[in-house]
Amino acid sequence: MGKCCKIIPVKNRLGQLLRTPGGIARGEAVAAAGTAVETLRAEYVNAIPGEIGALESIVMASGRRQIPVSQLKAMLDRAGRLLTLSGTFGFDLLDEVVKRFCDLVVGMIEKDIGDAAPVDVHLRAMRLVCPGGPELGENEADHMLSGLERVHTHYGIQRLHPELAEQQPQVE
Amino acid sequence: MEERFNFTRISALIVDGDRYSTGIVSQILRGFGLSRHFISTNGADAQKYLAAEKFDLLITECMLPDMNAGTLVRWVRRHSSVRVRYMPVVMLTGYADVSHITAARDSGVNSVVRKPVAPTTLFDHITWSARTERPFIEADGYIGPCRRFRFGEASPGFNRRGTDHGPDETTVQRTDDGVLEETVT
Repeated sequence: MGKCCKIIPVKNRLGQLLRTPGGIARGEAVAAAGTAVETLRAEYVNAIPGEIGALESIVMASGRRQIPVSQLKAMLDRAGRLLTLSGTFGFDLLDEVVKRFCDLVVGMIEKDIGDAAPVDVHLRAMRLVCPGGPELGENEADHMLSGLERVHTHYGIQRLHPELAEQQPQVE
Repeated sequence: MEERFNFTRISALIVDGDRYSTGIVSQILRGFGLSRHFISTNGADAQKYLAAEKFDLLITECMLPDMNAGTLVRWVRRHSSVRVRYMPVVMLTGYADVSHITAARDSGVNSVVRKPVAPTTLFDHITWSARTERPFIEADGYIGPCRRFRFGEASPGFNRRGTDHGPDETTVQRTDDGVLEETVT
Protein backbone atom coordinates (compact mmCIF):
# COMPACT_ATOMS: atom_id res chain seq x y z
CA MET A 1 0.00 0.00 0.00
CA GLY A 2 1.33 3.45 -0.87
CA LYS A 3 0.82 6.72 0.92
CA CYS A 4 -0.57 9.55 -1.15
CA CYS A 5 0.45 13.15 -0.78
CA LYS A 6 -0.15 16.30 -2.77
CA ILE A 7 2.69 18.44 -4.09
CA ILE A 8 1.35 21.94 -4.55
CA PRO A 9 3.24 24.60 -6.51
CA VAL A 10 3.10 27.73 -4.36
CA LYS A 11 3.50 31.33 -5.49
CA ASN A 12 6.56 32.76 -3.73
CA ARG A 13 4.97 36.02 -2.58
CA LEU A 14 7.85 36.91 -0.25
CA GLY A 15 10.33 36.45 -3.09
CA GLN A 16 8.28 38.64 -5.42
CA LEU A 17 8.11 41.44 -2.85
CA LEU A 18 11.81 41.24 -2.04
CA ARG A 19 12.69 41.50 -5.72
CA THR A 20 10.75 44.71 -6.33
CA PRO A 21 12.98 47.61 -7.46
CA GLY A 22 15.11 49.37 -4.86
CA GLY A 23 16.09 47.56 -1.75
CA ILE A 24 19.28 46.97 0.11
CA ALA A 25 22.38 44.82 -0.32
CA ARG A 26 23.29 42.22 2.30
CA GLY A 27 26.23 44.15 3.71
CA GLU A 28 24.25 47.37 4.05
CA ALA A 29 21.29 45.57 5.61
CA VAL A 30 23.42 43.73 8.16
CA ALA A 31 25.32 46.91 9.10
CA ALA A 32 22.09 48.90 9.50
CA ALA A 33 20.57 46.10 11.58
CA GLY A 34 23.65 45.97 13.82
CA THR A 35 23.45 49.72 14.37
CA ALA A 36 19.73 49.48 15.17
CA VAL A 37 20.36 46.70 17.70
CA GLU A 38 23.09 48.76 19.36
CA THR A 39 20.50 51.42 20.24
CA LEU A 40 19.05 48.87 22.68
CA ARG A 41 22.35 48.11 24.40
CA ALA A 42 22.15 50.49 27.36
CA GLU A 43 18.57 49.59 28.27
CA TYR A 44 18.98 45.86 27.76
CA VAL A 45 22.34 45.51 29.50
CA ASN A 46 20.93 47.39 32.48
CA ALA A 47 18.15 44.80 32.60
CA ILE A 48 20.57 41.88 33.12
CA PRO A 49 20.93 42.20 36.94
CA GLY A 50 17.13 42.31 37.24
CA GLU A 51 16.80 39.12 35.21
CA ILE A 52 19.30 37.36 37.47
CA GLY A 53 17.33 38.75 40.41
CA ALA A 54 14.16 37.16 39.02
CA LEU A 55 15.92 33.78 39.05
CA GLU A 56 17.20 34.36 42.58
CA SER A 57 13.73 35.18 43.85
CA ILE A 58 12.48 31.79 42.64
CA VAL A 59 15.19 30.08 44.70
CA MET A 60 14.41 32.34 47.67
CA ALA A 61 10.73 31.41 47.42
CA SER A 62 11.72 27.75 47.74
CA GLY A 63 13.45 28.51 51.06
CA ARG A 64 16.74 27.47 49.37
CA ARG A 65 15.77 23.80 49.83
CA GLN A 66 13.73 22.05 47.15
CA ILE A 67 12.63 23.65 43.90
CA PRO A 68 9.52 22.13 42.28
CA VAL A 69 9.66 21.16 38.59
CA SER A 70 7.22 23.93 37.66
CA GLN A 71 9.62 26.49 39.11
CA LEU A 72 12.62 24.89 37.43
CA LYS A 73 10.77 25.27 34.12
CA ALA A 74 10.01 28.89 34.94
CA MET A 75 13.72 29.43 35.63
CA LEU A 76 14.63 27.88 32.29
CA ASP A 77 12.29 30.29 30.55
CA ARG A 78 13.86 33.30 32.32
CA ALA A 79 17.34 32.01 31.62
CA GLY A 80 16.49 32.08 27.92
CA ARG A 81 16.06 35.84 28.20
CA LEU A 82 19.46 36.15 29.81
CA LEU A 83 20.99 34.19 26.93
CA THR A 84 19.33 36.55 24.46
CA LEU A 85 21.00 39.47 26.23
CA SER A 86 24.41 37.93 26.89
CA GLY A 87 24.66 36.47 23.39
CA THR A 88 23.54 39.60 21.58
CA PHE A 89 25.68 42.05 23.51
CA GLY A 90 28.82 39.94 23.75
CA PHE A 91 29.08 38.94 27.41
CA ASP A 92 30.78 35.64 26.66
CA LEU A 93 31.49 34.52 30.20
CA LEU A 94 27.96 35.28 31.40
CA ASP A 95 26.69 33.46 28.31
CA GLU A 96 28.74 30.41 29.23
CA VAL A 97 27.57 30.42 32.85
CA VAL A 98 23.90 30.77 31.84
CA LYS A 99 24.27 27.92 29.33
CA ARG A 100 25.68 25.73 32.10
CA PHE A 101 22.78 26.81 34.28
CA CYS A 102 20.39 25.67 31.52
CA ASP A 103 22.28 22.35 31.24
CA LEU A 104 21.88 21.94 34.99
CA VAL A 105 18.19 22.81 35.16
CA VAL A 106 17.25 20.59 32.20
CA GLY A 107 19.24 17.75 33.80
CA MET A 108 17.54 18.32 37.16
CA ILE A 109 14.11 18.18 35.51
CA GLU A 110 15.04 14.96 33.67
CA LYS A 111 16.47 13.34 36.79
CA ASP A 112 13.78 14.68 39.10
CA ILE A 113 16.29 16.54 41.28
CA GLY A 114 14.86 19.47 43.25
CA ASP A 115 17.92 20.38 45.30
CA ALA A 116 18.30 24.18 45.39
CA ALA A 117 22.03 24.13 46.24
CA PRO A 118 23.44 23.59 42.70
CA VAL A 119 21.05 26.19 41.33
CA ASP A 120 22.19 28.64 43.97
CA VAL A 121 25.85 28.07 43.05
CA HIS A 122 25.14 28.91 39.41
CA LEU A 123 23.21 32.04 40.35
CA ARG A 124 26.16 33.23 42.44
CA ALA A 125 28.41 32.62 39.44
CA MET A 126 26.06 34.69 37.27
CA ARG A 127 26.32 37.57 39.73
CA LEU A 128 30.08 37.26 39.60
CA VAL A 129 30.20 37.67 35.80
CA CYS A 130 27.26 40.07 35.49
CA PRO A 131 28.03 43.35 33.63
CA GLY A 132 29.11 45.92 36.19
CA GLY A 133 30.45 43.21 38.48
CA PRO A 134 34.12 42.59 39.31
CA GLU A 135 36.41 41.90 36.34
CA LEU A 136 37.51 38.27 36.51
CA GLY A 137 40.96 37.29 35.30
CA GLU A 138 41.33 34.34 32.95
CA ASN A 139 42.47 32.02 35.75
CA GLU A 140 39.62 33.08 38.01
CA ALA A 141 37.11 32.53 35.21
CA ASP A 142 38.55 29.08 34.48
CA HIS A 143 38.44 28.25 38.18
CA MET A 144 34.80 29.27 38.43
CA LEU A 145 33.79 27.30 35.34
CA SER A 146 35.64 24.22 36.56
CA GLY A 147 33.76 24.55 39.85
CA LEU A 148 30.46 24.51 37.96
CA GLU A 149 31.71 21.53 35.97
CA ARG A 150 32.34 19.62 39.21
CA VAL A 151 28.76 20.35 40.32
CA HIS A 152 27.48 18.93 37.04
CA THR A 153 29.67 15.85 37.41
CA HIS A 154 28.43 15.36 40.96
CA TYR A 155 24.80 15.33 39.80
CA GLY A 156 25.52 13.41 36.58
CA ILE A 157 24.38 16.29 34.38
CA GLN A 158 25.22 16.22 30.65
CA ARG A 159 25.68 19.24 28.40
CA LEU A 160 22.71 20.00 26.15
CA HIS A 161 25.00 20.88 23.26
CA PRO A 162 28.29 19.00 23.79
CA GLU A 163 29.47 20.26 20.38
CA LEU A 164 29.63 23.79 21.83
CA ALA A 165 32.06 22.82 24.58
CA GLU A 166 35.06 23.06 22.22
CA GLN A 167 34.15 26.61 21.23
CA GLN A 168 33.89 27.97 24.75
CA PRO A 169 36.29 28.90 27.52
CA GLN A 170 38.39 25.93 28.60
CA VAL A 171 38.25 24.72 32.18
CA GLU A 172 40.93 22.90 34.12
CA MET B 1 26.54 43.73 -9.00
CA GLU B 2 25.46 42.70 -5.53
CA GLU B 3 21.92 41.40 -5.25
CA ARG B 4 19.50 43.80 -3.51
CA PHE B 5 16.37 42.94 -1.57
CA ASN B 6 13.47 45.28 -0.96
CA PHE B 7 12.00 44.68 2.49
CA THR B 8 9.87 47.83 2.53
CA ARG B 9 6.69 46.22 1.18
CA ILE B 10 6.81 43.21 3.48
CA SER B 11 4.66 42.82 6.55
CA ALA B 12 5.89 40.46 9.27
CA LEU B 13 4.56 39.07 12.53
CA ILE B 14 7.01 38.29 15.34
CA VAL B 15 5.75 35.93 18.05
CA ASP B 16 7.84 35.52 21.18
CA GLY B 17 7.24 35.80 24.91
CA ASP B 18 10.79 37.12 25.42
CA ARG B 19 10.53 40.91 25.19
CA TYR B 20 14.26 41.30 24.66
CA SER B 21 14.19 38.91 21.74
CA THR B 22 11.24 40.68 20.08
CA GLY B 23 13.00 44.01 20.62
CA ILE B 24 16.19 42.76 19.00
CA VAL B 25 14.43 41.05 16.07
CA SER B 26 12.36 44.23 15.53
CA GLN B 27 15.49 46.32 15.33
CA ILE B 28 17.14 43.87 12.95
CA LEU B 29 14.10 43.96 10.64
CA ARG B 30 14.01 47.75 10.87
CA GLY B 31 17.66 47.79 9.80
CA PHE B 32 16.72 45.69 6.75
CA GLY B 33 14.06 48.29 5.93
CA LEU B 34 11.17 46.10 7.08
CA SER B 35 9.28 48.58 9.25
CA ARG B 36 5.84 46.97 8.90
CA HIS B 37 6.21 44.36 11.59
CA PHE B 38 4.00 43.52 14.54
CA ILE B 39 4.68 41.72 17.79
CA SER B 40 2.62 39.13 19.60
CA THR B 41 3.77 37.76 22.94
CA ASN B 42 1.71 34.56 22.75
CA GLY B 43 0.22 32.08 20.32
CA ALA B 44 -3.45 32.89 20.88
CA ASP B 45 -2.98 36.57 20.02
CA ALA B 46 -0.83 35.57 17.05
CA GLN B 47 -3.70 33.48 15.68
CA LYS B 48 -6.02 36.50 15.98
CA TYR B 49 -3.55 38.78 14.19
CA LEU B 50 -2.90 36.24 11.46
CA ALA B 51 -6.62 35.81 10.85
CA ALA B 52 -7.30 39.56 10.80
CA GLU B 53 -4.24 41.09 9.10
CA LYS B 54 -2.22 40.31 6.00
CA PHE B 55 1.33 39.19 6.74
CA ASP B 56 4.02 37.96 4.37
CA LEU B 57 6.34 36.41 6.96
CA LEU B 58 5.96 34.80 10.38
CA ILE B 59 8.88 34.68 12.80
CA THR B 60 8.04 32.66 15.89
CA GLU B 61 9.87 31.38 18.93
CA CYS B 62 9.74 27.62 19.43
CA MET B 63 8.23 27.74 22.92
CA LEU B 64 5.47 30.30 23.46
CA PRO B 65 3.99 31.07 26.88
CA ASP B 66 0.62 29.51 26.01
CA MET B 67 1.51 26.87 23.41
CA ASN B 68 4.46 25.43 21.58
CA ALA B 69 5.04 26.97 18.20
CA GLY B 70 4.37 23.62 16.53
CA THR B 71 0.71 24.06 17.44
CA LEU B 72 0.71 27.58 15.99
CA VAL B 73 2.44 26.49 12.77
CA ARG B 74 0.11 23.52 12.30
CA TRP B 75 -2.79 25.98 12.68
CA VAL B 76 -1.19 28.22 10.04
CA ARG B 77 -0.63 25.30 7.65
CA ARG B 78 -4.29 24.27 7.87
CA HIS B 79 -5.73 27.77 7.57
CA SER B 80 -8.48 28.35 5.00
CA SER B 81 -6.71 31.41 3.57
CA VAL B 82 -4.02 30.46 1.05
CA ARG B 83 -2.01 33.54 2.02
CA VAL B 84 -1.81 32.40 5.64
CA ARG B 85 -1.38 28.70 4.86
CA TYR B 86 1.62 29.14 2.56
CA MET B 87 3.30 31.95 4.52
CA PRO B 88 7.04 31.48 5.10
CA VAL B 89 7.70 30.66 8.75
CA VAL B 90 11.07 31.13 10.46
CA MET B 91 11.28 29.40 13.83
CA LEU B 92 13.60 30.70 16.54
CA THR B 93 14.94 28.18 19.04
CA GLY B 94 16.57 28.75 22.39
CA TYR B 95 19.56 26.94 23.86
CA ALA B 96 17.39 24.70 26.05
CA ASP B 97 14.80 23.86 23.36
CA VAL B 98 16.64 20.74 22.17
CA SER B 99 13.79 18.35 22.84
CA HIS B 100 11.23 20.53 21.03
CA ILE B 101 13.13 21.36 17.86
CA THR B 102 12.30 18.23 15.87
CA ALA B 103 8.60 18.41 16.65
CA ALA B 104 8.51 22.11 15.85
CA ARG B 105 10.37 21.58 12.57
CA ASP B 106 7.98 18.80 11.62
CA SER B 107 5.07 21.17 12.05
CA GLY B 108 5.94 22.76 8.68
CA VAL B 109 8.34 25.66 9.19
CA ASN B 110 10.52 26.93 6.35
CA SER B 111 13.67 27.33 8.42
CA VAL B 112 14.99 27.20 11.97
CA VAL B 113 17.27 29.86 13.50
CA ARG B 114 19.04 29.54 16.83
CA LYS B 115 18.75 32.42 19.29
CA PRO B 116 20.16 34.93 19.91
CA VAL B 117 19.40 36.02 16.38
CA ALA B 118 22.25 37.67 14.49
CA PRO B 119 21.46 40.05 11.60
CA THR B 120 23.47 37.99 9.09
CA THR B 121 21.64 34.80 10.04
CA LEU B 122 18.17 36.31 9.83
CA PHE B 123 18.97 38.05 6.55
CA ASP B 124 20.26 34.82 5.01
CA HIS B 125 17.27 32.79 6.17
CA ILE B 126 14.67 35.28 4.95
CA THR B 127 16.31 35.78 1.57
CA TRP B 128 16.83 32.03 1.23
CA SER B 129 13.08 31.49 1.73
CA ALA B 130 12.48 34.13 -0.92
CA ARG B 131 14.99 32.71 -3.41
CA THR B 132 13.97 29.11 -3.12
CA GLU B 133 10.98 27.81 -5.03
CA ARG B 134 9.66 25.08 -2.77
CA PRO B 135 6.35 23.41 -3.42
CA PHE B 136 4.12 22.53 -0.52
CA ILE B 137 3.47 19.02 0.62
CA GLU B 138 0.07 18.06 1.94
CA ALA B 139 0.13 14.57 3.41
CA ASP B 140 -1.55 12.84 6.33
CA GLY B 141 1.19 13.64 8.82
CA TYR B 142 2.72 16.78 7.37
CA ILE B 143 1.65 20.02 5.74
CA GLY B 144 4.43 22.42 4.88
CA PRO B 145 7.20 23.28 2.46
CA CYS B 146 8.89 20.36 0.76
CA ARG B 147 11.92 19.37 2.84
CA ARG B 148 13.80 17.67 0.03
CA PHE B 149 16.01 20.33 -1.43
CA ARG B 150 15.98 18.95 -4.95
CA PHE B 151 13.99 22.13 -5.70
CA GLY B 152 16.90 24.43 -4.76
CA GLU B 153 19.81 24.92 -2.41
CA ALA B 154 19.50 23.88 1.22
CA SER B 155 18.81 26.48 3.90
CA PRO B 156 21.81 28.20 5.53
CA GLY B 157 23.39 25.83 8.02
CA PHE B 158 21.48 22.81 6.79
CA ASN B 159 23.58 19.64 6.74
CA ARG B 160 22.74 17.66 3.68
CA ARG B 161 22.29 13.94 4.13
CA GLY B 162 22.63 11.71 1.13
CA THR B 163 19.55 9.80 2.22
CA ASP B 164 17.46 12.96 1.87
CA HIS B 165 18.09 12.95 -1.84
CA GLY B 166 18.02 9.31 -2.80
CA PRO B 167 15.69 8.21 -5.55
CA ASP B 168 12.20 7.62 -4.22
CA GLU B 169 9.97 4.93 -5.50
CA THR B 170 7.17 7.28 -6.38
CA THR B 171 4.43 7.71 -8.85
CA VAL B 172 3.55 11.29 -9.67
CA GLN B 173 0.41 12.39 -11.42
CA ARG B 174 -0.73 15.92 -12.21
CA THR B 175 -4.37 16.70 -11.51
CA ASP B 176 -6.52 19.07 -13.56
CA ASP B 177 -5.81 21.99 -11.20
CA GLY B 178 -2.03 21.67 -11.53
CA VAL B 179 -1.46 19.85 -8.22
CA LEU B 180 0.96 16.96 -8.32
CA GLU B 181 -0.07 13.85 -6.46
CA GLU B 182 2.84 11.70 -5.38
CA THR B 183 2.42 8.15 -4.24
CA VAL B 184 5.36 6.86 -2.20
CA THR B 185 5.77 3.12 -1.91
